[in-house]
Amino acid sequence: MKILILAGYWILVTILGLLYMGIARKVTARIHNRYGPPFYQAFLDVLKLFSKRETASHGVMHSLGPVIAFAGISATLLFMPLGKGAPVLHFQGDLFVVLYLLVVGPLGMALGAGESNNPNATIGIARALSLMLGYEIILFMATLPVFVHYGTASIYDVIVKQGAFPNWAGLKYPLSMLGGLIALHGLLGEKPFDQPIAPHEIASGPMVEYGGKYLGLLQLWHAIGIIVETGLFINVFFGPQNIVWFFAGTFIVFMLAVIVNALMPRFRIEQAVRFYWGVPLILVVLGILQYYFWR
Amino acid sequence: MVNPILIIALLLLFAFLMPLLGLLHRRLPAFATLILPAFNLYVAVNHFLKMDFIPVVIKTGGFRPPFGINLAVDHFSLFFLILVNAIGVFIALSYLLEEQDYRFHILFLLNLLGASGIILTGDLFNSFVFLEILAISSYALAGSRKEKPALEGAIKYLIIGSIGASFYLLGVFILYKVTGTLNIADIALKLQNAKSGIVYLAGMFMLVGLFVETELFPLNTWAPDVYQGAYNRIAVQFSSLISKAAIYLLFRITFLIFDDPLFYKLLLVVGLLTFVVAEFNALAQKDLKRMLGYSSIGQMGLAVLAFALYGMISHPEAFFAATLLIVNHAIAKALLFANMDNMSENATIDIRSVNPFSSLMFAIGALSVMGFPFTLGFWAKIEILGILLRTNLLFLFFLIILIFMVEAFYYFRVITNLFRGETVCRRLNPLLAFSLVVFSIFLVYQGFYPIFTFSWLNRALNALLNKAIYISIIAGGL
Amino acid sequence: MYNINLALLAILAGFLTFFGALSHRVLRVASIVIGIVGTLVFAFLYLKPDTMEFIRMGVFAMSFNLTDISRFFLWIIISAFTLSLLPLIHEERSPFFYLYYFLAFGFASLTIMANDLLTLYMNFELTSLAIFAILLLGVRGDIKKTALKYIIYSLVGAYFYLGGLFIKFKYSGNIGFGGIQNVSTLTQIAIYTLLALPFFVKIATMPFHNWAPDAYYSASDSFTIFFSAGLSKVGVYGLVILMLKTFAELFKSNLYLPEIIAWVGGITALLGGIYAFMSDDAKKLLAYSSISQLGYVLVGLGLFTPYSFSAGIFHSVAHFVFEGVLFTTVAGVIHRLGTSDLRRMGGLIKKMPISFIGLLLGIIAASGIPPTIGFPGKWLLYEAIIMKGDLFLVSLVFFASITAFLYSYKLVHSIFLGKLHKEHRDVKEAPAGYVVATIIFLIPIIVFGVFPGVIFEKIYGFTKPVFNHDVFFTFNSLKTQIGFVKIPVAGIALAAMFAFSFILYLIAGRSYRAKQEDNYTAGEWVDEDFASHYAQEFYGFMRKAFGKLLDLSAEKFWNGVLTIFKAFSELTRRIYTGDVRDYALYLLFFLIVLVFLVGGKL
Repeated sequence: MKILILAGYWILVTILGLLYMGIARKVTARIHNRYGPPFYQAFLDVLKLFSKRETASHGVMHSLGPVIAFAGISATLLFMPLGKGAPVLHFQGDLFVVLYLLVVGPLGMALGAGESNNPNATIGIARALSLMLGYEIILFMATLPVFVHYGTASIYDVIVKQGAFPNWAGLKYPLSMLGGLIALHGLLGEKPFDQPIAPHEIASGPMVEYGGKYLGLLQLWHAIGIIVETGLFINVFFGPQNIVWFFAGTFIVFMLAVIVNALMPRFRIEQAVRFYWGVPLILVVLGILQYYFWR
Repeated sequence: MVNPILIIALLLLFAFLMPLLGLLHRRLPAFATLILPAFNLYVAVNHFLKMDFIPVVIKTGGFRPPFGINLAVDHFSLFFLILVNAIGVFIALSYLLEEQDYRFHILFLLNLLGASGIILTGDLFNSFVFLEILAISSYALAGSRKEKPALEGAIKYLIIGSIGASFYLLGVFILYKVTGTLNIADIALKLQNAKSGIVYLAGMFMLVGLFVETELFPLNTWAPDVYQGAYNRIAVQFSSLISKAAIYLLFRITFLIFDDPLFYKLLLVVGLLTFVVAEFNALAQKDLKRMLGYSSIGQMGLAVLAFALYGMISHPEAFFAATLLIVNHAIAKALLFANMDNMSENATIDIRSVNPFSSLMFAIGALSVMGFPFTLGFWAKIEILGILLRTNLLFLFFLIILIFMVEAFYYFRVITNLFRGETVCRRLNPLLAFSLVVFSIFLVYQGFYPIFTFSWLNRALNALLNKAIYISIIAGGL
Repeated sequence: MYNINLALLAILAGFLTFFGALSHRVLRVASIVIGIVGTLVFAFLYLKPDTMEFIRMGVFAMSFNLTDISRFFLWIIISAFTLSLLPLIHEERSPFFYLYYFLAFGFASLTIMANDLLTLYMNFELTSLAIFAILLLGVRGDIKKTALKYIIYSLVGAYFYLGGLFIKFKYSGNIGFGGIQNVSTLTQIAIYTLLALPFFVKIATMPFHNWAPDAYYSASDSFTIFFSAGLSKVGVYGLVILMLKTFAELFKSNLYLPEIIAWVGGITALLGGIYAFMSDDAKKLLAYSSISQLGYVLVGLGLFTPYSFSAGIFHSVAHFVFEGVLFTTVAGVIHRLGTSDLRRMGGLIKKMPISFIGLLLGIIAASGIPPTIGFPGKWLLYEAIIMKGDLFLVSLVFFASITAFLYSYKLVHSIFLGKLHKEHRDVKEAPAGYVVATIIFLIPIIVFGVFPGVIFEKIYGFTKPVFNHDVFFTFNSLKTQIGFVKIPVAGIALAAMFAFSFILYLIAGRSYRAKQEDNYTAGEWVDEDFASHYAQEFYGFMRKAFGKLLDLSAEKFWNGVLTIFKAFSELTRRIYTGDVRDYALYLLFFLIVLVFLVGGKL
């Protein structure tokens, strides 16, 4: 029974993720003053990719890369509550489990991309990992005051204890929330933080040698990833009290990111990392200090 | 039991007989040189083990003290006698087959005579005589190598040594004038309660003389040159024999006669300065023998420092630490210097060509001087740190530890080079190798189980500390 | 009685191997095998809690005792030793090497079994000496400088320890592990720092870590396995004993000391990680990784809460396991390739698949991903720091753990992924010894990762008397006041999702194998020799990001200290001018000083 519910959640998230991706392309297009593809384009893409009759692969590890990436993000999804009332597996694991499982996906991807025998792929991975040095720490420091405030390391407990507007943690700790938002932008890999992908520069980085079903898996990975990443932010700072609010929140945050993405160019990688150590770091440090001195 | 005076008599006799022996057979002098210290060792050990814990007076010429010259034998002097003659045996055995010039053997026997005489005598002027014998034979030995560095060292030693000896004699005269006697115990008796100012002056003069022989700052300036220039066996003699006899005299006279805070404080400062300056100088050295020479000087300074702490803490452990250090140093330095024969001429600290045996011997000797665990030196170091802490002078305590680190650095610098150098197999003198092995085994064995050394040491120190008995018996004359 | 015999047996085995190695290759292998088997059999049969006194001299006796803590760490060392001997079978070394190897193990065991501070010191020094001897037989790099650096760092630490030992003796009247009463906090902190210093050096805490990268790089590769996985635990053991037995009260009551030590550990973890991913040599990278991981251990131990302390000890076990497997696989690669330079490797996954799996699981554990052994320690550590309220510290530790991803990927990519170089076309899988050791290491990586309770139980045994805390673990889950994790669930979730993902992969179309050169090159024509392996300056762009941080060097500082000493020695050297007239003047001046001293009495 539990498995059926989990499966249901998974399908819901995948579908909504793909929907988000499609809407994102539409929004971007409109900002660029063109029509853009239909909002269900992502579904078409995935279907097309999976229906390819044969795909090129550079070896076992190369093939397994997207498989592991997809597995990783799906497993992470199982530990990510979808707002109050959809606890999934939260009883068995808390924030740190999510944070570390979140790495499994990129790691698998990294292993696979490394086997591409294309330097672009490895450069992309190297950049992705280095970028982590930037946003991951900011994200962590942003969420810290909230967790300690409610005395728990479980994401679900944080949602429950927050309650509805106006008791949102994001309003109690606005600076942390802002820092977290900037970090989320990096986590999502939207411009100006899309150095790992950098389509014009390193030919999509890790994805350069992936086509067909691999690329399909990667698209699914991206879709679920969007929900999981924005979901983390929304759960911690805006405690959605039911699943509808959860998806509404993630949608708004994601669209924010898409709009910024459409308008901004790309930083250089070291600029991006250093950027995070500047203003965002100050924001989250102030947030932590706020926890210490002014609860 | 054999009368200890035979030690002195026989040494003197054979020293004079050497040329004759040399004529009889080429090898005879060398054998005589081996037999005599061995005989002395036997006598000394015999007395050490069998004698009661009462000092013994040996009269000469039938005169009772305090009128005649007498020998004073107690466990403390016997201990040093054993040490000095053991080193004598070591040197004689190691170089037995090599040295055929009888003149060396004369000098060696005279040197041993001076050392044994200093240790055995109970008369102050007698001590000067033996000190001079020791010094003059040392001058000659230091210069026995006919090369510039050795000769230079010998001349410097001669000059400084002579001046020092003169002042020692001056001190002796003053004491004679003040007390009317030359018997050490008697002088101690007379000066026990009231010391007039002039006595202090006499003491200072005598110390100047002794400081030269015991290689203390700032009168040890001759020592590095001698250690660097002289033959290796002479270096062994200086580090393990000559300075040890001299330091015996220093300890004995200070404790018996000049048992006064001023003297202990002076020894403390001089010892500390010697130790610090010498160890830092060793750090700056490129020549290996000179480095070892500075290390010797440093250890002497440390021994005197430990001894002087008695004045602050009045705890016999100070003497224990000092004497243990002296024993360890004598043996370890003998090992190190004699081992230099196995290495190339003019070895520097960047030594390249080595042979595995000599590297191992060097390592063991160095580890013992450094006081690495499971060598005899470790126990010496522990004792010294223990008494340092008793003084509650934390600054001094940490300063000494700091210097230990410096010592470790320059020794390990050489050890690293030794064990990474290219291997060259040199022909080893078998007797030398044997002696080296015996000494290294002793150091390590005593490192594991130092009971043997400790018990002998305790016996010796009990005798030293029993000042009252010493004075009453020797001055009273049995 | 029997416990000492383990060490003595090891030393004897060392001599046996020495003679075996002198004679014939077969005998060498045979004696190593005998050594392994003998040690294991003995350990299983005879290791029991027991006290023993050796020599007694006045107030001091050399005494040994096998306590719970000792046994715990002893098992780590025994395991590391035997596992490192397996690859050693394939390496040709001088006979003395084997002797020193067994000696190092023997003395390390004795150190752990020591029952008082002086015995610990003596055996610790001899362990350092044995390691020094092994480093002198190193295989690459500036061997003299490396060995000298190692022994000097160790000795300086040990001398401070000796000072601390005596001061402790002065205040407490004994040299055992008991606490000190009636002394001011400052004195206690001073004594603790003095005593703990050699152990900080041993676990390469910054800024005393400079010996480690060179030593790991230089030493023979199988020895590095033992060195990192086993011998560093002697340092951890020393710290654990000091904190649990001697200074427990100090740590519990003082506010600042735990924080300072934890922050030192955190900075070590971070900087170690950064230097690791900026390294271009496999062994140096692993050396810095080891330093970094031991930094986490120090954070756990230093913070001194029941959870953090347990986490620290658990993570040191994890360190043994995953650093062990990392060094083993890298040793195998170096053995086959003859180089340890990451820039010259690549694509070995095709040739050395088992080593790849070993390394992969090793880096997954080093990154702390569940359900490997690297996760529980880190999880508990984070929870502990948050419970203490140290938000900046936990951020530092988290930051440090991200660097682990960077160097892990660099390692696995540079060696195993990417393009196989032409000269490595004929490389075979690592020899049997390496492979067997790798496989054996992999078992605890998963088993203790999923069932950490087994180890936590042992740790609880000796931490409960000090902290008096409740059980926070079961066989396979951990629970603190703020969080809960049931590890098998994470593992099952991953496995299940992987299975699902794999099914998706299978049902969708088929894949054909494309050649290496059949690749996206933006329209350029390329042939086989096209340089498509990204290995030079892997994270080079981060240099600009870090800027001046990478110029900070503890080594420059310590070299500066040494220069000051040498300058002072040059000064004192000049006193001995070489001119005898000066010497005579010294005598005169000295005499005048003496006369003045006496002047008052005249």
